[in-house]
Amino acid sequence: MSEKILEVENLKVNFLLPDSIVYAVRDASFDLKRNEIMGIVGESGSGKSVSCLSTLRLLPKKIKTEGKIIIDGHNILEEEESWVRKNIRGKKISMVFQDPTVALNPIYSIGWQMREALMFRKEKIGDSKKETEFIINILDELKVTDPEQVINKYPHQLSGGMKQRIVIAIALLLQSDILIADEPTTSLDVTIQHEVVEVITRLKKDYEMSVIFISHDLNLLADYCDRMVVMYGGMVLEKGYTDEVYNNPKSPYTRALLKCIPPLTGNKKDFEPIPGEILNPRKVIQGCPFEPRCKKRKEKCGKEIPRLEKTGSERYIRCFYPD
Amino acid sequence: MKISKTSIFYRVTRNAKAMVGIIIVTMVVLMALLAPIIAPYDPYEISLGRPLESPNSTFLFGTDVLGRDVLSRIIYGSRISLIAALSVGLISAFLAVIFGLTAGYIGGKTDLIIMRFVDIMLSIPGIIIAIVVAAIFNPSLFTVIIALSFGMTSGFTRVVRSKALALKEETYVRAAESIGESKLFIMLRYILPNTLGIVFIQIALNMSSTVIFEAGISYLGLGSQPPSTSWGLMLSEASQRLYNAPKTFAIIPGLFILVLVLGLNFLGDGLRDIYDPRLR
Amino acid sequence: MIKYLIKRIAFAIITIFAISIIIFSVIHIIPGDPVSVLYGYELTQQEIEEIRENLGLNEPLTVQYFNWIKKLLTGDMGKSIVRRDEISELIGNAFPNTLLLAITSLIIGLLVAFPIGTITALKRGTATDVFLSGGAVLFISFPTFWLAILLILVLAVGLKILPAASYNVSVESFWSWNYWKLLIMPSLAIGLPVAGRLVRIIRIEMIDNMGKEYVQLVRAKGAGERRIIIFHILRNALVATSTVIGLTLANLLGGIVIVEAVFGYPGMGRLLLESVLRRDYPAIQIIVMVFSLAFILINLLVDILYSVLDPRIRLE
Repeated sequence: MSEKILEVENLKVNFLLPDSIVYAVRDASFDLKRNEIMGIVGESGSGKSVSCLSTLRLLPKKIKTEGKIIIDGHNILEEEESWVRKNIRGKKISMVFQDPTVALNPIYSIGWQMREALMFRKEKIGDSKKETEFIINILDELKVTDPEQVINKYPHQLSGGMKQRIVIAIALLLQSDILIADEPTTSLDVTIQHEVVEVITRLKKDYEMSVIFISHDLNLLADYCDRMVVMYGGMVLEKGYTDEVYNNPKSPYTRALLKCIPPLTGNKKDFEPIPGEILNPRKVIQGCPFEPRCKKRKEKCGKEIPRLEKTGSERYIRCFYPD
Repeated sequence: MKISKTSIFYRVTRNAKAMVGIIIVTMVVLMALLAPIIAPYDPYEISLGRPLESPNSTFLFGTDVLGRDVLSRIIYGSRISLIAALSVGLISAFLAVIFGLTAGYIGGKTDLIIMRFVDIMLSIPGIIIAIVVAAIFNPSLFTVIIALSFGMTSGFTRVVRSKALALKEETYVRAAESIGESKLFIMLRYILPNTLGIVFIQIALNMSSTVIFEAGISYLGLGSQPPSTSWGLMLSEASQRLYNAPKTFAIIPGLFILVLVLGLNFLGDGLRDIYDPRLR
Repeated sequence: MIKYLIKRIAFAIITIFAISIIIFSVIHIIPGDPVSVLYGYELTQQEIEEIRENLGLNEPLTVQYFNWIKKLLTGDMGKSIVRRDEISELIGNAFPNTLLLAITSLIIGLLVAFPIGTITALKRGTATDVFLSGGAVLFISFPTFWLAILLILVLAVGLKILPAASYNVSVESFWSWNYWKLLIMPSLAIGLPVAGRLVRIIRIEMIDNMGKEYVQLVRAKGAGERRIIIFHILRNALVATSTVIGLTLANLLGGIVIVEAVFGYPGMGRLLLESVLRRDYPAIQIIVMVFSLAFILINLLVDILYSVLDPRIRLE
């Protein structure tokens, strides 16, 4: 459980647009251990997706990056594109995308697209019959009814939940070491959401993968993840073991996030939305990114950027005045 | 829905393509309007010089087979192309807007009838229509304009209709309908102004097609007749004598057609870029 | 999909009939009839009446129409008034030539347009893109017949490597170089402007597809750029491009008529022109019908192609 297989160190990603710079990731550091599920939680614009896309180097061309992303001793940010393609994509890391309706090419059948994934596996299967068997197996695991029929269908003939399962299946087919699931449940109905996450966690055990789970739904992540990372404004504000972070949040942001989810039961007075607007990624900041909206802000918060400090085993906080 | 005139003007002047197009077209228009002043000779007067002279100091573009000054004929030729382009452009726009808006917005049986007719008309290539019209009536610039207007209206109607169909679903249209505004009022006040964008683009593109078409049909002898100064007609005179006449004779009228069409195409493209910027 | 096809075919047939009615009525509305126009100065009034009776010109129009259609459906296209040949023979000789010209031009257009269109999309915004896209607009703005004249001036009159006129085209010498020499310039004159139009559409469609998320996903699977471009971007762009190819055919037909005139190429276009100039109405009627028929057929084929390429249409 303890070996680190992915390390992100002080990652910085700037998108260079024609007339402005977007600071998508300002300073992100986290790591993933073997066989663990790690959750990255944050609102839109927090930098969680971009950080993970960086591990696959799936970003647009006009960017500037700083920092390190280390896998197997290699810094991915410094390698050639062809190296990344041959060694990382589909081999070390595979990804499940957010919106299944556009993630599948509408003109090819499901079977075709899944077979295409098999072409890029670490170990090729080779035999056409075995390939089909393998595909049907995975679909079965994902509780897809009638997989033989589904293989011949086209994306527009399937429901959203079904499509998302296909997208997950494609990522699983690759049997990579790391699976990154980017908001895999966001565009699905609530009843299906938990089902999908169950599948991912179950298959993670079967295939011995490590999973990074991205979401803006804190509660969902708390149910399944071993460790959690909380991001805002392109920076990691807090991270640690899930029960610690969830039950004893030290960053004002994490606390505020927990408070603004209306509880189904219990004291309704605890519900409080966070005032203000999400930090504009184009804005240059001098201090803590959450400062404008933080209830406990003091003068220092706006003038200096707090550093990510270790406060316990696997526990890190970025705040001058943690709770 | 008012369209802010100032912002459109601003956007047009910032778009390079559209500006180039406007400049070119304006220059040709000026050439046409000022023809009597800038043309050195009478374009119809024959035997001004020896036939088929190369460009020289007396006749800047040389002379044609009847000794007429090519430069003056070119200058007056702009009038033919522009008249054709403008007439066809405006007539087809007028008809297309009427038919297209009615078909798109009113819908129902009217839509079916109009569109069946449009589909049938679209099944006959425009040039065939023009040639047949020339076969039946005595060919002239007028017949060309009529035939091309016919031909261009169908496609244009389809474009307007799609836009009307889309606009029909807009919230402000539904809101107006729900308070009881008459369909005619809604069409004129809400739908029409919002179709003007694509209408202007299509007019520019139709105009460029018309210039080429008119030249082509006159080239075949089925359009403007001699002694007209149509550029297409001049090219037909030139192409019969490719080996004896000076090369400029065959190149210059075509060059002018090319430039005018290019200008109109740039204008249409530029307008399209402004209207739908994601396609750049 | 079968339902869709049947609908389309039914509509095509109705359209053809409608066109035949339109053509027929239009031709017969003109003042003055063909016989007196052509032979008036030679024959007496009685002889004219006899000929008219023979040709069935004294029947009411609707009867004349049905007679005409009946004959057509049995393959009898009638005689050309002017040339005294069977119209079907004339068309039989001219049609294959035009078909060949059309196909060659389309092939040139496609061969030029696809690579260039793809390059402009991939190198979007760079100088290469501006240059090539500008070139495309330039070629669209060329009047086809002027392009033809320029080609003749340069290649035939100037460099003397190709013949200026294509009178001697005949299907027999299909495999000889001479035959193709006569075909090159006309095909280029038609094909290059077509290529210009296609380049723009291909560019737009490819740019559209490049931004699609499924492209991202395939990249994440680990696919190489070349595979992505061919299988996921280009192949998807083909879908929308095929409809435009259909539209371009209208321009192709127009170009064919004019280019055949410039080169004297013995095809349907030249036949039409000759018939028009000589007021050969029976011939005009038939030729226009053939053109329209070809046009409708091509559009039908494009529709079918479209449904083959896009499973969303195919599987309703």
